[in-house]
Amino acid sequence: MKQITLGIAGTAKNTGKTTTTRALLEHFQGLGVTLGLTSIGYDGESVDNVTGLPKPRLYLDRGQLVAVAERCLAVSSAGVKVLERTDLITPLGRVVCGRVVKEGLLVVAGPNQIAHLGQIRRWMAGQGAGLTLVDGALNRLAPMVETDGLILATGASRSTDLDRLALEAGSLGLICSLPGDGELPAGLPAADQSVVYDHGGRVLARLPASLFDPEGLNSLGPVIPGAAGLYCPGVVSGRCLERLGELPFPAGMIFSFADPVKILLSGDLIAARSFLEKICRKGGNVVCRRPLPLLAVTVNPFYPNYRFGTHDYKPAYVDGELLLSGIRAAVGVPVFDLAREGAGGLAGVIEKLIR
Amino acid sequence: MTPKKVLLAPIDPVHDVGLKLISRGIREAGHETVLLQPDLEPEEIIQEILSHRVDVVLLSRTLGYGVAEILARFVDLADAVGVRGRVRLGIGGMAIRPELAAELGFDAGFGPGTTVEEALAFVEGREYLPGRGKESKEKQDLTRGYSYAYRNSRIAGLLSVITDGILDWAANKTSPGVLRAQVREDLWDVDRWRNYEKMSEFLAEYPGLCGEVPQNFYLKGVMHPKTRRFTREEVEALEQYVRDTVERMSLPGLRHTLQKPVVFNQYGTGCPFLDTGHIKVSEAWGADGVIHFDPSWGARTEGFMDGFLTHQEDGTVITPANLNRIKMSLEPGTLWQVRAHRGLNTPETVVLAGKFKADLTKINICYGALGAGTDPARLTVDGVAAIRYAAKYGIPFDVVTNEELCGVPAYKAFAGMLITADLSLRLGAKPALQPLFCYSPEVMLEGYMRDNYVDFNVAKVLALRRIIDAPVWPGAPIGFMTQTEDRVQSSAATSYHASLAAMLGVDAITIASSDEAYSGGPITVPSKVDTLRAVAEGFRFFGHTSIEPSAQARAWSGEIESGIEGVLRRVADRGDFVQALYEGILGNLEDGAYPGRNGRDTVLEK
Amino acid sequence: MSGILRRIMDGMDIETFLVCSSEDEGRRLILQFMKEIGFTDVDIVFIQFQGPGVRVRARAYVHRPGDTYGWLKAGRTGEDAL
Repeated sequence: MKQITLGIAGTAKNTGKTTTTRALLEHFQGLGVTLGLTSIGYDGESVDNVTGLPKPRLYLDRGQLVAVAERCLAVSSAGVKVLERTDLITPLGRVVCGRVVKEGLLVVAGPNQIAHLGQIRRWMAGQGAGLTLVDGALNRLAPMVETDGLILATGASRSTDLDRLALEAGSLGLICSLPGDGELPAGLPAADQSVVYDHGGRVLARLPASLFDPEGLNSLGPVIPGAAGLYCPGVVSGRCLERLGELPFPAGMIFSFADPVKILLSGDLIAARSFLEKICRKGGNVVCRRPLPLLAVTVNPFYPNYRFGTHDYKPAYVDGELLLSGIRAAVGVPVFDLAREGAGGLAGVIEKLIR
Repeated sequence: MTPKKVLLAPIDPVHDVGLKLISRGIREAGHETVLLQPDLEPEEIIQEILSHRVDVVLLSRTLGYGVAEILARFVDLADAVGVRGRVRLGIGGMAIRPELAAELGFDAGFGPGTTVEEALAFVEGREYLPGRGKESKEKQDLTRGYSYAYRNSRIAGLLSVITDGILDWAANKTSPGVLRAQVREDLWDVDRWRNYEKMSEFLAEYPGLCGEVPQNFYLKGVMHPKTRRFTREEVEALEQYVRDTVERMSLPGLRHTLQKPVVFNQYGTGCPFLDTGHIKVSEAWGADGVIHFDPSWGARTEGFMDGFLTHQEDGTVITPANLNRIKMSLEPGTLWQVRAHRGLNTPETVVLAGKFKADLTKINICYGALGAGTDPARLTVDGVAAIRYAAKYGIPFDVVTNEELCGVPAYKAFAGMLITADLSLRLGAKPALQPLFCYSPEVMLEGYMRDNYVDFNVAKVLALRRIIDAPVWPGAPIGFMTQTEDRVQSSAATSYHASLAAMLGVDAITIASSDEAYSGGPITVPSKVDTLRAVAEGFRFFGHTSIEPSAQARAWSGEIESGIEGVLRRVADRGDFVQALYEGILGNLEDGAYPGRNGRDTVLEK
Repeated sequence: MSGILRRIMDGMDIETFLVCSSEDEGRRLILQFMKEIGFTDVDIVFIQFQGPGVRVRARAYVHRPGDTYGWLKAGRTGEDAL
């Protein structure tokens, strides 16, 4: 059996991340798989931090592994034997790693950075976790690069415009499908700058590691004809992706990014998608040095309807059927509405990965 | 400590004053700060981080619709561009709590009321422990720095004569109260008691010295009709409640820039558990000390019972178990006073106060004898013993002039107070003087407060200070009889009296709740918060503002001083302090003072 | 008793201005109101008639000294939503 780490990421708050996490926990605990659980945010409390509406909580059997901030243990009913106190500090105290010795509900807040999640992931694997779940937070993505794959939770809380949701999910799916085995010419990769290079691997131009300002790309003019590839180790903004798509790079040009998250963080999925399509049409390639595949999508028709009169939130719903079918048509991976269908389908997708 | 480079960014459309204050504080601590303009995009802030090579970023933002996602994206960007490892991210704002900061992915969250010190700890990399803003409070010794030297030598001389007389008179006398105190002192050990050991020798001697109600308790297990015991579950629940509360307590100070006065309020709902609730609230709202208010039937009863006794009327019964429970719930820095100033149990109360390590007690022979119903001879014998125990245990006490409330003029009550005080000094104890700040019958009849409440109260303090260098602690509580049931009026009355006391530089004050004038039921805890807030506000308003006594105040203080001297001369001439009490020299029937009858004919020859 | 009411340490005051034509009427009205909203152990702490009506503070005792205190149990596991 393989050991894998899954990230459950959302496109916004209240998209059903924790519901998804909980469904997976229930299913796999029932199968006797040793699970690891952590979170890059804070979940498990009974009322939402921002909207004040009720939220689900996470139940763990004995034997499961957890990595949580210390203060979570005090308010959880599950009993955890601490095996290691890390040096990772969060607003809720130090992250401790341990094993559940008394079953119960757990409030989970954990490492909030890429490097820290990497450390926890390795600990989980070392302790024998078959499946480690990383519960997401809001729309945060960055640390998920330390997982083997993403389950995306989206829904009306992100937008009640179902077409837009589908387009976004589709774009995200496309970006996450980028191959993660991008090779670069020897001697090139440096973390502190972006480079344009030629067929011989010689550097033609240097740019900042992260590309925010499209004006900065104007300096590339003279080197474009001889370019073979561009490597950007940092994040790239939507406007820069647009500009890169417009510049007259030669056919066959390779654009390398560190991982799909760097592109997703452009903040403009439409621009990112459009960039990919443009490059493809021009005969070029977009690759990543590290993959982050999208494994499945869960949808949630719920959204908190903000009432201006009373300055609070009230539950509301979009058409679940339409939402589900729209997302299914847009992405190339399985899509589920857990509330309607149960966790079986999603669990099946994951089981295939583990075995 | 290497200086850090700190980037402060209001992501708010409006410049944040809080962030500016913190920025200045961080600069003054030697770090470099860069304050960005408001309303920048996350990407722009990231670029500033990259170009300035900062160590710490402090964002401030008010939460609103969609804001959480913007902040989350900022954190993501910081992580993805690779600076997250070397840059600490803090978020501050009105709705920020540690849980929210954790959800957003920040290293720390700063809510409203965050101090510069907290932000600085974060900047300097000292571990941030959310939710524990406990400043440690240290107990103040009210008597420190006072020489007790007399400034009026005639009064000093008279007091000396009177004290000699009292000690001679009391030398061969004892009482059931004194005997019980001795038994309690010698045969009852608090540690053994806490260990649930049976105090057999104590139980052999003690009940025989008690009155009927306590005797029935020890010999037959009969409870006082208005009391009940607590169940084991209730006790456990209370202990858990105290543990939980103590963990999240923070202890604000009331005094703003002042060093004095120490502020006391009273507890005594009748139930030690509810009292514990009241005490924790009082501590949390700034009370420096709390005073045990016991029911008046206790003063008429020979002896104490034991167990957690809750009692449905005003005042909480003194039993070792009740005292122990309350002691264990106090914050380490809270002063605790257990009063022994009236009734048939005065010396034993001081012994219990000593064994349970109370910080203060209260003793006044004259008030107890003239205004609280205890026989003068009995209370004199008991008072001397009580003072000796207070000296032995090193517990200071105040001497309060509550007989003013009966109608005894201040100068007579002060004469009695000084007698008790001088006796105390002779016996090696440490008294504090407690004049009343009140609208007394004397004041009403003489019109002393027709225009203002200030002059006469000032006069009292001036008079005492002209006589002796001793701590002054107005009570009890201050503003007595000036308060009505109107919550605002009542709180204001207390606050103004407290501010006056502060301007006079007194050492401590006892304050009422805003329920002071309400007699329809027990005092509720919100009313204690009311006056603590009001007093704090008065201290904030006036700060170190001082008061110059008016001509009228000075005139009255001179009259009080000579009045005191006159009374003391009469007492000294009478040659018998106890008879002086009976005969009304220190307060007579016309004044409204009555020699008490409880304990009459109970004084014994040794 | 409702879960949240349990957490009141001792008393709850309602402070308001009632329009009425005399102190007596104000007194009667506020006591009736307190009964209507479900309180039985009530008292008027303060009432003053002036102008259009009374400024009044009515008190409901939820826990008296010696009662079993609901707030000793509340809070640890968030039961009071029930």
